[in-house]
Amino acid sequence: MHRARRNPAAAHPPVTRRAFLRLMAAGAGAGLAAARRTDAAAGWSLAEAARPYRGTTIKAASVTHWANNAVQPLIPEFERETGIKVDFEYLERTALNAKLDVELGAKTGAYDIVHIDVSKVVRYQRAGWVVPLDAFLQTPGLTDPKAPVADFIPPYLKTVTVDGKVYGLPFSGESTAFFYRADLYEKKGVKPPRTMEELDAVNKIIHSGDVPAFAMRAVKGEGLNVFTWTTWLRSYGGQFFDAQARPILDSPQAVKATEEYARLLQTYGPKGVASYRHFEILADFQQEKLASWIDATSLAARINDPKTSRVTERWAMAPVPRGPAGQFPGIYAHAHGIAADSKKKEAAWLFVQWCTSPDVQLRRAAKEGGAGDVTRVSVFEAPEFKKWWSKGNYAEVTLASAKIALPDYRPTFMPEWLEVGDRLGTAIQQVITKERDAKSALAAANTDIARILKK
Amino acid sequence: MPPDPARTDASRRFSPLERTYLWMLLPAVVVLALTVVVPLGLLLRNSLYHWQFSKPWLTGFVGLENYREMLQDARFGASIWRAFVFIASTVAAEVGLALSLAELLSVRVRGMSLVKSGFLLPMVLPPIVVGIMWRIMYHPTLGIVNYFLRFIGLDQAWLAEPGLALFALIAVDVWQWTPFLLLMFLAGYAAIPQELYEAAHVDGANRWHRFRDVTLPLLRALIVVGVLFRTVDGMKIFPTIHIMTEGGPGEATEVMNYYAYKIAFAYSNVGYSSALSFVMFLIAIVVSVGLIRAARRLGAAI
Amino acid sequence: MNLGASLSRTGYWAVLSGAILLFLFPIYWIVAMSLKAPIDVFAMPPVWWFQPTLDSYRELFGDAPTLRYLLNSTLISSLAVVLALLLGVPAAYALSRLQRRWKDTLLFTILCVRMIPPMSLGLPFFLVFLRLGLLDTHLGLALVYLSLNLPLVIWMMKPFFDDVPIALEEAARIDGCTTAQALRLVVAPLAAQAMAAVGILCWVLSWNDFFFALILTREAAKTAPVGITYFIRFEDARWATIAAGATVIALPVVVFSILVRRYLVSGLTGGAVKQ
Repeated sequence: MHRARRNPAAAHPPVTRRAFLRLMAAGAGAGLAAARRTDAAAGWSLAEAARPYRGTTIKAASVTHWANNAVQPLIPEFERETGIKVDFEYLERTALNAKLDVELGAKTGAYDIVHIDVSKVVRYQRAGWVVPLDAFLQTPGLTDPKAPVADFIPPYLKTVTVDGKVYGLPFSGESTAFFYRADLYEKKGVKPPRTMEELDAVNKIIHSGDVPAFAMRAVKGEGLNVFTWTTWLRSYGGQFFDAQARPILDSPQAVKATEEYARLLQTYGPKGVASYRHFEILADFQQEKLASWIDATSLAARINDPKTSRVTERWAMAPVPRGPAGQFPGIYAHAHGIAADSKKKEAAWLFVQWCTSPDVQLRRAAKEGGAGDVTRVSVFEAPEFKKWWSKGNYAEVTLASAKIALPDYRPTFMPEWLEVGDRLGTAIQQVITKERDAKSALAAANTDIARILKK
Repeated sequence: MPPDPARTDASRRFSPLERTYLWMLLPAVVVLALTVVVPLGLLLRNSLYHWQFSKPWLTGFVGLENYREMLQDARFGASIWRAFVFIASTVAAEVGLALSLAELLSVRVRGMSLVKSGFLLPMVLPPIVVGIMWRIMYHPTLGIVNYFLRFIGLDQAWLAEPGLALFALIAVDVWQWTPFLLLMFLAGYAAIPQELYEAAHVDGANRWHRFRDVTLPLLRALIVVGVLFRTVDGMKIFPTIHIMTEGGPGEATEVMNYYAYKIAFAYSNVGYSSALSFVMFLIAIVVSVGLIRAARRLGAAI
Repeated sequence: MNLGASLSRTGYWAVLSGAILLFLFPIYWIVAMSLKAPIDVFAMPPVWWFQPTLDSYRELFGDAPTLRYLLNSTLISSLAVVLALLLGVPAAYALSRLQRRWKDTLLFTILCVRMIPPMSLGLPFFLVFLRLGLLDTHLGLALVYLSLNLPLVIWMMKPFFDDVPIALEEAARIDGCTTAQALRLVVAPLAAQAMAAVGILCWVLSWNDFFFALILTREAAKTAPVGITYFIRFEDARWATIAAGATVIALPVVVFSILVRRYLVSGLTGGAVKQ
């Protein structure tokens, strides 16, 4: 339908280092199937399930995030019903990762619940720092039938699944989409672009000195410019690796994709776009200084916030434009995982399940200042949710994009990904700043990446 | 202060007075020894291992392999050069600025002490906040820096241009740490007897001569201490770079310490980053020794 | 002659004002940001006249236990400075008075403590503290700062002690003082300004540390710089609240240095040394 189906075997050849990529693609389905079996138990109650764990205290470490903030007021409910106390520690993402590396590496057992995402799950799993959740999913006494795992938007769940085992329950998820100023578009009589050609044409019409037409992440980083750039790579038919698992980032498709990515930013981007992360893009858009951009869907909530945004009534979203090879929105999810050295795993599980359950997710989204980056299909389709989150087509576009996104959108499953991604990001940024041209930048990056992988 | 010949003796016995001195020295030395020995030992040990969190199956003793790899690591070499440029620029600018400010502020006017307290403010902010605030201020279109520079046509994308980013970071460091040296130098000024100035004035010296012939020589030791500490601290700079540019654009602001951080925390390569850290430590020692020797040759009593 | 004098005086004031403006404008900007409505933080052209609001401060103290973090910071920094002065001042004095060949080597080794990259110190400290139960304690973090402050105290106080002629202590000793008393009653008062300055420096450096506070504390002893990152979120940041946090974090040190500014004034009547 929307995406070009690729042969999984070609993308993930049977080389030892990449074997688990294939296993992941096949195995996540098996994990979900097993979970479905435990759904049926009727008459399950949280208080009953938590009875053996009354009086314990569990410690959680997670990112500072709107989704976590939105759930915080509801936590006392959980504590009352189960008698389990929840101590949360919130840290900014990079600081959190550094701290967790130290704590988990030293096996202090200080945290029962840890933040986990697609860039960490393989590392944590291999180091034995987190436990698969399948054991809990297969224990009827601990599984809430009203919170089925199958209800999670599959790509979100797959981003934290390794070797077919689920290592976290996503509490916040996002895809990427095209955001634009509906009022400007209407004034100029254009519609949001559906293809890359249309994107160029629309930008040309909309662009002006006062309000640049378009921006995307430019700062180097596997979670920064690489995140949105990969849409271009895939859309132009590029790949990260070939059938022999060698990096092919210097292929003609990759070069074309990078040239296009850079050209769009250089031609239609605001001044200094080469230093833009999503922070800067957001600030510009909120202050009416940007006409359109592509980035994470979860940013919609920030545009809607009248305390910081001047364009709360004038924006809309559309799916990312498709390229010659198809349509490839990005994907990312935050999840709660359970630490291997935790002594209160079951209590931790009950909390993780509760705070990602349809009921809690709906309540945290459908309110003033709520967080709409929910991770369950049922919540997206609930009328309550739609009432709060239909503005700008958020609900519709996000769900549609998330559903067709590829979990291995970026090859984050390999242990060297962080280093590889950063090296790639550096090359991309160099092209955007015109420090190097696409061909030489990518060739150099490719050589370096091949060297990194050989180690 | 010339050494008392009666006390400079090579004998192994300590006089009672010296023993008292040693007791006064002991607690500090013990604390420092504990702080230095264990980490350095661990650092050295780890640098001889291959140990990467993401590839635990490769862990093992590899001897000097990490160091060999370092010699071929062009990125490390580049980061050392950038660190050198950064530190040399910031220290020179900070010393010059702090001296000038101390001189300016040494005029005895009512309320001057309040002004002095004001100048201390930049140093008082946590580096992480400084990074965040300056990043906002450097925003190419919405930032306040460019708003002013636009009037003189100098507005640039400071953090986005490979050629400008390092300079932008230097400016922030100078802004933040000049107060550190200023405070040191003000204390030094307070210790200079007024009589010396008065004598110079009687001899017909103007402001500049007084500074050059009275103030500077007496401050020499303190200046060297300031340079030493800023240099050593400059090698450890981290939060500001991380927040403002993350070592970018490209690798334009990736200085030595930031590169080591990436290896350690972003790529989880404990073995290699230990080797890098150890070498950075050695570099710091070499640089400091060089600075102290140069200072002695210039007459500072260190 | 008079024209020259008044020109140079206006020149002096111009330069001083320029310096004040350059240095303090960003501070003003941050404080202003904390008092603006969040939507105005990025307004371009900038909003110069605005209705100040305390919303960001309310958020700062309401959404996170900021007060506790500030108290932690105060406790830890004060402890670290007191210990550093207690251990460092006598050590600096001893190093100034001792005349041994190994003195310079020792002095240099003390400096080396500051050269160890913090990342390399972090993990060992963590492991040792873990075993000693010092993780997430005020004392633990204070000990770390103590070891980082000692070199600064020693290296900065020594030149001041070098400048005090030994004759003064000898006279005191003839009058019956012990060495410690001589240090306390005769020498130290002459170096009071220096001690105040180095005390402030150590306090500020401990107060502002981020890395060790992050690694060695969890929630109980968390300090203000780490706590403020609560407002840096994954998608965006509450800039106005962070600015409020910055202001609040800077305040104690500013107040403290204003209170001790007597010790920072130069050219007081009489210098440090009377011949």
